Amino acid sequence: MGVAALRRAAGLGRLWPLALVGAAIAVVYTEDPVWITLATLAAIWTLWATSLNLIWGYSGQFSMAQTGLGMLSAYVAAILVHSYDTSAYAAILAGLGASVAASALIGLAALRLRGFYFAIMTLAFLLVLSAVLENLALAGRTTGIVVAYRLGSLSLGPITWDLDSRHGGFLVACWTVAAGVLALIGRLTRLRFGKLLIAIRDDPLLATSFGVDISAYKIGAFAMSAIIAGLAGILLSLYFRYITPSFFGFDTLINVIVLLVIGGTGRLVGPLVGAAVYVALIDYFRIGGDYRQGVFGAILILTVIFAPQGLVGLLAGLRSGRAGALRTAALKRFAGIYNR
Amino acid sequence: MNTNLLVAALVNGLMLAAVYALVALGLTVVFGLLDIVNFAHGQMILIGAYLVVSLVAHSLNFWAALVVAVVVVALVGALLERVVFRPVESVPINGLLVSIGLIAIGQNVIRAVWGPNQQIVPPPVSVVWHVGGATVPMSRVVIVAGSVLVLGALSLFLYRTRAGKALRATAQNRDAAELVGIPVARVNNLAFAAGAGLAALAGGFLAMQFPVEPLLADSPLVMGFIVLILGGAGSPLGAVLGAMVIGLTESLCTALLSSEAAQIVPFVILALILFVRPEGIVRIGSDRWV
Amino acid sequence: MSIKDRQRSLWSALGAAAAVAISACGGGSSTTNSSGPAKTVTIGASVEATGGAAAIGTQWRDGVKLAVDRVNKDGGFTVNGQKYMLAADIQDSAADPQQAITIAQGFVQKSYPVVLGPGVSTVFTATFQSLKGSDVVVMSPAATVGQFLTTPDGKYLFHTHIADDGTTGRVYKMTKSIVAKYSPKSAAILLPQDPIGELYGAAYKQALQASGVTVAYDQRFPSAQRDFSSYLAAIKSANPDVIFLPYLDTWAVPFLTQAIQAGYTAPVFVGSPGTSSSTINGKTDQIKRFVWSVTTRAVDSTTDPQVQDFRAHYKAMFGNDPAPSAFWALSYYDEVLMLPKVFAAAGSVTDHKSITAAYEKVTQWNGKTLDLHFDSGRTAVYTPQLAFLENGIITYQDAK
Repeated sequence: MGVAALRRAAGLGRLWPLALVGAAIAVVYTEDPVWITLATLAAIWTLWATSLNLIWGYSGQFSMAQTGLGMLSAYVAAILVHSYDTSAYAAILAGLGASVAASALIGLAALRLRGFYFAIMTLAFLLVLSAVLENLALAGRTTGIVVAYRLGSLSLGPITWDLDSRHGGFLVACWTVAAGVLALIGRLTRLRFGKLLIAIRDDPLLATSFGVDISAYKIGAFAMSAIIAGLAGILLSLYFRYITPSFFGFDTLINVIVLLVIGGTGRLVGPLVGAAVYVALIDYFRIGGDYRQGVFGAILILTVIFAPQGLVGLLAGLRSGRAGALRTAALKRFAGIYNR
Repeated sequence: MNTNLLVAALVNGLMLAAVYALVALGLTVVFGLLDIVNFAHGQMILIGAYLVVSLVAHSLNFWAALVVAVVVVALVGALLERVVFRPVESVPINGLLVSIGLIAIGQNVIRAVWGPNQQIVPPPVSVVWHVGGATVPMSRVVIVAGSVLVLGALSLFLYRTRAGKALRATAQNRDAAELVGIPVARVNNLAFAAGAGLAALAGGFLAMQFPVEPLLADSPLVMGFIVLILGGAGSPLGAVLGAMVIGLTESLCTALLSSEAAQIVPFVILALILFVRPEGIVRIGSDRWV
Repeated sequence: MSIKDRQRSLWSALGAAAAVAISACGGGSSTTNSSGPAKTVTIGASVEATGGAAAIGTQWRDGVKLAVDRVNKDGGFTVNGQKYMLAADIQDSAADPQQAITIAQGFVQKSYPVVLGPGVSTVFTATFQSLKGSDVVVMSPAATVGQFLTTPDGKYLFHTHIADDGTTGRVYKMTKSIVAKYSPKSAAILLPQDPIGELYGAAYKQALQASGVTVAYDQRFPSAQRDFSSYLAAIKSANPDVIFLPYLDTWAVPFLTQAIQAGYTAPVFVGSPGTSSSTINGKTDQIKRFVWSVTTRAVDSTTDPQVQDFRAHYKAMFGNDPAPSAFWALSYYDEVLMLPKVFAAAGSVTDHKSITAAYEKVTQWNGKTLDLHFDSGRTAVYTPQLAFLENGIITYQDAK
């Protein structure tokens, strides 16, 4: 490890997640309901995309189960509180546990299959879970279920932080969770576990030849991604205070995939950038009016073709002063693509 | 047991199987050759159905409209392959992402051109057969027969023509196919066109039976994907067998058990078959497409 | 310039550029306009104009546009000596709760006195939860509005459709009158698996059992279902005298087409609220008896004096007669037309408390289409309309 990297690791470089929480607090002080709403949604999108990023970006397994895993957590927690009077945090833990268990089952069954099998099997999980919940009286069928529990408040001396407040408390709670998750993953990629995950993604054969148990690592990564998806699902359900399976369906999944790709897969801040761009374009500027989803689809396609590393990759390229080289490469790429 | 109910359920099951087989075959052709899971297949089905509606509304004969729709959508498929899928062919997952982008664009285009309200084609076949106490609508039989014909033609094409053999060779081993001088790029283009054409055909058949509206393709597409996995993704024979299993299961469950059962049982079958044979009904791998 | 100010100016710039602000007098926001004497009052409307509910959402959008245009064609209105024109900020949520919440918060931020929608039940529930504590009058036709009306947060909430659930609701009463007319022995219920399907299903069952009618078949199908032939086969073997159909054309039209195909046209078919004459368009030769409850009022009727003013304005604005399904436009139409009288009675165009009180009092307004008023529970009261198809002729009856 170089000196610069050491310094970065010890110094400010590791504090950037705190800056996210600081930014969230700054948004609270605008007292603007729209900004608070958008920032809250952005935190939840960041978590969704980060969960996908961990299993896909870092481990190379394209999962379509992430919103399903979040749905499972949200439902387990809501049902436990609604029908069994469980306390809020016990219910949340149980919800996260349920999605970890589900991810382990899916992982054992499907991770040994070829890449696309995993994608479609995980999609099947999402569809089956929706179908089951829509038929389950305990889960309120399609009418949905009220999310009755609250995060409560946190008191530090004279300051009391209402974690459920729509005027900022919940926003800061969401960003605290999101920043914590990002910090942990940032840390993880510097540890043996994370490095091995990336090594497995890049060259599974080589990893096997060094005696790495690929499946165990992938199942571990999938379980971690399930916890993050569960957090996203639970926070979303706490925001709506009411859930139906339709809130976690295929459309939501697509949004998660799209914003991660646009932000940049396999990069820590990819989900963050993607979430910001998504919320800004779709919810704030509403670019394209009634055709905003189509515009976003076009942006996705252009990103995949011309900037497969996403916006973060693109920006990293520009920042490192290779703008000219990048443009030449893009032109070359364009010529290569369409002049065959 | 009520025989009339059983006959009706069987006829419906066969029709569902026919539609699912067409949808799944379209997915299979693309998946087998390009390794692309094409989620935009549903949009192709819809565009096919809407084109049939519009052409018939402009007083074209239904069957002529169906042919035109299939050809037009096949051309659209070929164009899409060239413009958005080929640039990312080295990374198959990117093909899936591109297809996700196409869903959003397709939905918007369809809404802009045809609007959100349902549109109806006057049925080209309205005869109803009475078999004992059961009624068998001729149009459903036509759909089944039409699909069988198309599947037969497809297999003739795959096994008896040069282009078909080139397609199979490319699916089996792309590098070897390139070495022996098969124009792989053109073969892939052809495969995409064929996949889109099959989707449009399924769409046309759906338009024959159901009002056309933006969500018409949702259920067939989901079932098409289940069939694709069940059959062992990449195998045309597997797709047909899988379609039979899923179509009949769905209609028998609905008629004899309940709607809940019809929603859950296909997935249970999928899980069971994959547990016993993770590679699907027809084993894939080196011997796919053989 | 504080962050908040900067943001405000960004918002107004965006509002001018992107929001679909409708104003007949040709000006957009004229609150600072000194050249014209009239000010503009803007209301918010969150409609599901794209996405899965677009067929209904576009009608809701058109209803709001039409009503705003109707108010301004009358020359606007005067409150406390100040002349006003009406405008609507209509935003599409694509039936996505996250977009709907953002839209609703935008309306709150812009301090609109009245907000219409969301109208889709699940979207409404999620959105309304996020509006708690905001001082804004909310009006929605969603089936889930009822459960919030009596809560402390629902003090300024209005339900613009008559209640469908319970033994006093429309579905229960409608079922009773159908039973009285046709005296069936057994019935089949087929509804989609969604909140409205569950609500209607419970009410049908309750009413049928109370009338001693056997429920021989009762199923919910997934909402993507379009092939009902297997359901039909099962219903046929249960042999009911009356069949209660799913509530949208999306399902009811293929169901009836396939019933005709199967030669199964003998029972009485009942269209749930949401049905219109378009459901049986082209099928009146084969389907002998079809009864349905019109959610608001049949706007395709050329003989009903109540809807003629609506029809005339609709044609003037959109260039064609309203489609049968345009009855959805009435979910918000009268509520907007009431505004001049409501603001005048409230003596304010901003105070949500007096506007709420005024809405409960106003009973007459220009262009009145439904015989509507709001009861003290803030639920719409109007006479539901039953439509009967018998021997190819459709007749509409007010259900007393």
